[in-house]
Amino acid sequence: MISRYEAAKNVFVDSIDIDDYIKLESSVAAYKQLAHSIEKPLKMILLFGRPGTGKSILLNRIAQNLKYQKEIHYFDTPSTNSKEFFHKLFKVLTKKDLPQNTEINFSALVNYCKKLRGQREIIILLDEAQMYGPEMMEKIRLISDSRAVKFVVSLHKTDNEDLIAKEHFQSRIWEVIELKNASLLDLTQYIHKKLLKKNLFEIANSIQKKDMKLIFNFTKGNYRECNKLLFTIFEICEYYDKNEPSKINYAYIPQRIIEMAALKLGYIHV
Amino acid sequence: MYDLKPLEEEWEKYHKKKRLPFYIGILIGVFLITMMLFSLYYDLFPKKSLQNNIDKVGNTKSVVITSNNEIINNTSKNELEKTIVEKKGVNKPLEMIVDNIPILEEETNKVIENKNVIDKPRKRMHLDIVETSSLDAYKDVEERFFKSRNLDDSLFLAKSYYKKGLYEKSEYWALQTNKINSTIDDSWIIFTQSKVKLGQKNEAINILQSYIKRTGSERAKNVLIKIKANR
Repeated sequence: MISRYEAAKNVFVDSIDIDDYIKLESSVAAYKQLAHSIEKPLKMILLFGRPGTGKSILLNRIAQNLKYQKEIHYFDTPSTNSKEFFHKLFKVLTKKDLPQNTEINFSALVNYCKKLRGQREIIILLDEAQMYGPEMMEKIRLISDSRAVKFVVSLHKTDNEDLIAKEHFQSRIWEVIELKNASLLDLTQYIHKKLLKKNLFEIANSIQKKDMKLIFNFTKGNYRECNKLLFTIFEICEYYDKNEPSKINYAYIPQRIIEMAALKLGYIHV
Repeated sequence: MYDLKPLEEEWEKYHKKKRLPFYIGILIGVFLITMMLFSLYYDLFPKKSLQNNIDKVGNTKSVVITSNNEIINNTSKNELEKTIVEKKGVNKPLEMIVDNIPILEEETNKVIENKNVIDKPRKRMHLDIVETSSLDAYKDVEERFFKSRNLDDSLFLAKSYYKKGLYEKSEYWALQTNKINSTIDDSWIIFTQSKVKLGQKNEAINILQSYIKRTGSERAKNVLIKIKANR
């Protein structure tokens, strides 16, 4: 039988599995906005936000929910070169594998897409699209101009580079959805709901208001960072539970353990 | 699992460093209090010491008169008077500072009042946030219970609502738990305690007595004694 802390630790393993999706006011709003945008006659939709704000899980969820209603495809890992990307796209469009020793003729592909207009509406969800180069993005834009293929482009927003300012996005993106870090309220709900979903009632109650504030301060409301921090907190709790039970209190999580986890992850320094 | 010793040591260092400003603050506080006490002491006792000087000089004067050295005597007397006037002059700013204290106090009070005005709504906002958050999380568990009928969920809700002082809800969820399994002490105790909180003490006693009759629960007996004794 696994200990309560081991179970709690596993709750915070970072994943984009839709079973781990937590309905929060902000995430529900983003989902509705994206679903609504997909319904519009747009060519490209930009979904952007800092790493760990829930872009991938949102794309995954929308792909799962709409898979029986729409022709929707989720490209979770970016293709390293255009050949690989067009190979995947060919399979989506024709539902066949590319014959061996053949290559895609791009203009023929665009023409093929144009012929599909009015007959099919294909939605491609491109995750980690910052990995595609400008040339690739330009080709994706040309395909989207056919209006038979719609792209949802998910990008990281970084400090150094505001991607929506990039020329090819500024002129061609028709809808922009930004995902932000969680507020303290969102993060509290997120942690509670995640633990309650796995029936870890006592552990959910053992995280107090001041602990939530501390966790929020360390993670700045980033869901991935929050997962990492809570995983480490429960990992430390698990260690004490097994080896030095006198150092742990089941009624609450000592601030010392939260700070130790923050030290381990480098949120704070000596 | 990794060894936690190095991490514990690192935390000890961090904790000491974190508390350093606190200790410095205490030291500064102690220093300021000492300075204040010293200035108060200085404010009160110079007058006494001056008075002592005058007395001493008075004694000296009588000695000087008997030695018939009047010129020196007058000079020293004038000088002494001058010194006294000057020293009184030195005391004047101190008196002004003393006069200023009520003003300073008023200002300090204003600052404190202003601080309170700013602090109060913050506190209320914070409490609202926490309350909404927890209740929202419970709604998920409620929805899940209606699908799964899992008594862990209903018992959790009964306990949580009771802790939050929402007795109607705790009564409802304890009842749901009892419907699924009628032999859980916790659930019956919360059910009857909620009833007591809702002003239905007699009904609570009757329910608990019949539960004790049925199960012989020691915990329920203790709770019954407490309810009867209004504890």
